[in-house]
Amino acid sequence: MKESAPTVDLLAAVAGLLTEPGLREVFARNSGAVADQLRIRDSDRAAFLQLRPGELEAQARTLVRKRYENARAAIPRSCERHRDRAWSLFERYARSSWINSSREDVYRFCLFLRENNHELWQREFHRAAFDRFGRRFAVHLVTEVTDGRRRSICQFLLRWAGRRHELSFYLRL
Amino acid sequence: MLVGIGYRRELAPWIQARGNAIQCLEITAEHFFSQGHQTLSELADHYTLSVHGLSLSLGSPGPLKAVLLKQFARVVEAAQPRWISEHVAFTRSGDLELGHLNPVPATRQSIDVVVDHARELMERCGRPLLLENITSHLRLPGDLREPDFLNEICSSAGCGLLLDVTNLFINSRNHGFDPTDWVRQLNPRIIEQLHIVGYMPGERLEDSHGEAIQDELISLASFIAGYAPVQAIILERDTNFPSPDLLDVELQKLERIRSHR
Repeated sequence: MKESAPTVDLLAAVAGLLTEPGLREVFARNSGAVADQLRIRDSDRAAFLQLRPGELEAQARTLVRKRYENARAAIPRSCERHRDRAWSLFERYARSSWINSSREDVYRFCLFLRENNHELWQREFHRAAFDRFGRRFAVHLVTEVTDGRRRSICQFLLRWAGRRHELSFYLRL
Repeated sequence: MLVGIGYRRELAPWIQARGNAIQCLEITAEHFFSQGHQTLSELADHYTLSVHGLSLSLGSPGPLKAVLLKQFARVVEAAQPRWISEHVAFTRSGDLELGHLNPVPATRQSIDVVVDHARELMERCGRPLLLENITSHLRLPGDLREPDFLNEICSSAGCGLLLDVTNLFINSRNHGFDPTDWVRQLNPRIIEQLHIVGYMPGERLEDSHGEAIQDELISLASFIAGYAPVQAIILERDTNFPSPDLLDVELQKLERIRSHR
């Protein structure tokens, strides 16, 4: 069977490199092999082979940093708890896959923190899940330790006029 | 030259208290895609507005994403801005969303793609369009020098340039070229707006949108203000918001730049 002509253009190939760390590692060792693997269009092959691995890594890091800033804005207390390690934890999480949706990204980062026994503020995890699954209403009972005291909190989440609203009550049980 | 700032809810009290010292607000379109159109109408009564997009990906081959174009146009309808703006960049490829601005090669093919999309955007929104230069660690091989590339895009599309002074400075340091030489290659008539904010220093400079404007940026912006008929300069502070007093200092820097016009 005759193989079809290469069809991937330069921007599509660059997008692939920026979002796949493993592909960049192979590119740094053998750019021609990656050009063949991606089936780069003949007219774009020369430009593709001129891409600099160091610049690709720096740009890719900028994209992951942007994802991290979105996550930090969504779960600030969880990130603060990890202080300087928060960014390296996110980098480790981000290597596993590229996520298109920022809501999905935040939610999966929360799952990563939980599954790897890293601190995760429960109310932030519930917000992330609420947004990720497009829920309209949710109620959670949460236990938090604040100033050395263990507290029970009832967290209400409501979607109204396109925005998430929250009300939390401390409970005396 | 109008002095302005990127509108953020966190800055709203400070903006309101500044009265006539701030004449122009830049609205990030994506922040108002699903709500806030009433706020836009109210802001339009008091300020000259510019609606700035982040996600239309004018540099991507193929059609613009219809749902984003529709949402952008609705924000423009609510804001009634003097300008709309976007970037000479791509943020998506097929179904892959990159979440950030990435460079396009300075080629004839890219010019055709960006010009087509720019015309479609202007026709849809009925407003003058400005296209912004981006910062990028990655350089893509091309046939044209970047200033010539931008000159041709703006000339062919009938749009202006939103010259991001910080992006230009960062690229000049990271890639080793003279930013004033770069500016001199631009057609001054296309430079209608400036963006400025402090950069994050380091081995490679970063466009963090969260630092005070450094002196070298003021010098470069002042040079550009003297070179081109710039109509507005916008402080693009997105994060790490300082105290009102320090924001006033940033505003004074913009006034200094304006005095070179």
